[in-house]
Amino acid sequence: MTGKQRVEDFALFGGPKAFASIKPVGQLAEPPVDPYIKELAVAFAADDYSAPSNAVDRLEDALCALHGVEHVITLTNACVGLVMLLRRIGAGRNGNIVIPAFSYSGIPHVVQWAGLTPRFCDVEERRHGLDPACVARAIDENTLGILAVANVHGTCEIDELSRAADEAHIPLVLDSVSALGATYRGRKLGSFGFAEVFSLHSTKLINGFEGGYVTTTDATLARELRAYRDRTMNGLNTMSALLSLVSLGELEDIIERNRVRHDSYVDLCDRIEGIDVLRYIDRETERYSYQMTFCEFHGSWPLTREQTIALLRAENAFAMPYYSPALHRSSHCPVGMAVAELPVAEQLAKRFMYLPGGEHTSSQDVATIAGLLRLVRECGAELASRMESST
Amino acid sequence: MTGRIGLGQRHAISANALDNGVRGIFERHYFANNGPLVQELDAQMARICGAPFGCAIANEFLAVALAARVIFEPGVILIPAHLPEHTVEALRWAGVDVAFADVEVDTLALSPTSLEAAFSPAVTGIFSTYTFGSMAGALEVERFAREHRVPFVVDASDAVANSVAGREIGTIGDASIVSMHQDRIVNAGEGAVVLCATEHTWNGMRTIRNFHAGQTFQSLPVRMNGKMAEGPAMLALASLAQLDTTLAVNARLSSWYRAALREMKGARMFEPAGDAPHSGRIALICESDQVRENVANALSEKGVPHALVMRHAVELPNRSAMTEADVRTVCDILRRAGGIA
Repeated sequence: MTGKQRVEDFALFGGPKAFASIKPVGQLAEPPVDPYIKELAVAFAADDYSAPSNAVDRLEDALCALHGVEHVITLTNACVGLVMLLRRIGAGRNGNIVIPAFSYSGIPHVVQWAGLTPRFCDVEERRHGLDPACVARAIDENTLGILAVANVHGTCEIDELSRAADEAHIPLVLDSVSALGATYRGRKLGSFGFAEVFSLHSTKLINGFEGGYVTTTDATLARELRAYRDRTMNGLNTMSALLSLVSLGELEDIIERNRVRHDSYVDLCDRIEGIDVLRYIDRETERYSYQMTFCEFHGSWPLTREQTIALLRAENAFAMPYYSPALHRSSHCPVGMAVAELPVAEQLAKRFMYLPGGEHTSSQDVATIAGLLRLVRECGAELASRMESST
Repeated sequence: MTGRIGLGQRHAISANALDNGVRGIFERHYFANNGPLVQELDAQMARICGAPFGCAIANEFLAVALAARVIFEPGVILIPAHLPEHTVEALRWAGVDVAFADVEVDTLALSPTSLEAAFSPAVTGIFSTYTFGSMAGALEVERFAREHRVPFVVDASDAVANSVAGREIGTIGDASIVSMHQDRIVNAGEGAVVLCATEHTWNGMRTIRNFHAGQTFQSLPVRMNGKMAEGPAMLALASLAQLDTTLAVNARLSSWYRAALREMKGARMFEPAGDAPHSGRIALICESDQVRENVANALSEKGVPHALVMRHAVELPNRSAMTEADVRTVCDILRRAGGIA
């Protein structure tokens, strides 16, 4: 609990910060340092600082086992993996790639690095992924592929998107960075579509400093990607490969801590009028990483989302807007590109806040954050007035 | 053939530096996203190489691709024909076309003459390399670029701590790219630093390498994840801390090869130009196709790692752990090769 009871107690209005250190949103898991240093010492004694290396081989084998796939290709990072896949799909042609308008900011950029044009498409309300009906309407004679994002709380409509891709004779690539550890209709992410891409960034489930990998069941694609990776020197360095390997050993414990943290948010925040915690879909039958928790604002909440975020950040709880603004209305939309209204994406982009989580946010911290939100509810009218007059 | 004989320097850091460096990262809980070690590396590389600004990138490929996007207008970039395949592909990722300019036979470098022969109105930039660490022609190419009002970017990976007419690598051209791949002078495993001549270029590089609103210093149409993480930055800083030792090792290696190859016929050791060339790259320039074939076959038969570069050059093993005896072993094989005994 915060001990705060009045508007003046909020840090934004001069009160002490609720947290002495920043509570970020990313996973930021830290594997044990001693085994890591030991692994590094052995690798460096063998002059293995980068790919190809024994460390990379071991990591790729371990990731194959984790995902239940035959082929894993580690790379500099996930974005490089996406660009390589899209360049392979594009094969030097001009064309477009269908992408979700409610997603992370890098997506339109990776399409352009592949020499292709992003074609923004609306998403569906439940999983927040590409809406298959909208995708079918968006595909035209210049569409070369679909890049779908598997979201943390519910992946996306993979079966329907696969059907749409098959009917149009184009590949489906899944950006599954947020869906590591998840299942879709009981099957682990990693073996869907033409290929999937995952990240080893420190804010994600597996901490490899920076890094990424592609999974695929297509042996030809795997062979081509490996060769291209090696020719372009985009392999994973040993420090990242070994940190990822050591991190993998902690994966199940991390997921369990995430679940406890998420359920704590659900329990505490659902009692606060005006906000709801976004639920993980079909969690009785599906697995998830529970890495992220989102709070949805309803009309009765006394502050705007941005005001709420500012207030929490002043307390060192670094909440963030979730996928906002919608990409086709953001600075990440290609200059001069006119995109028609995409109502679901535009609405979703206004509604959610990403709550602090990961290894730096304890159950006690969750209770404190929930306490701050409860105080916002209780002091709503006065807070709203004070924040309006201070802008 | 001993395992010490290898292609690529792989300069090691001490166990102490490794232990302290990694524990420091864990104690700070800062693993990625423009951390303190990356920022320190930016500053140190700029200082060491005489540049106003430095910008660390995940690897050499992305450093070239991102720098080309920031600096070159769409069009044709003149390059020497012996640029590595990955560099040419990185330029293609940046959306530019390439056209080849020849190099001078003695210096293996671009020159105003070779550039003039290849120049056209479609040319929007020059991308070159300090071949085997040689800075021959660097100032002349810079002048040519300026006169023709096109930017000049150079791969200076093998010329760290070198200079020409007193000008350090960070003072030449619009940007210099220093790879920190394990095989180079500075070893980060993977990584690179783009040395930027102006704040405008630096702001472009700092923006293009990420998607974060808080790390936006310029309006750019496309961005990428090109960030270097704290781990490689730690390795690079440890490598820089022992740069004097590294350069001394490289100088020693060169002197051993120079002594062992002095009497060789049909081929000569390439001597890189500059005030202090200690790249650690060892290249044999063969007088003819036949000599090069003999050399390559002899090395292959004995399992000696080597690389064929351009038409007549053979790059020889340069692992930092090699001893004088290892160098003599390699050179004995060369001397016994047909046609150059």
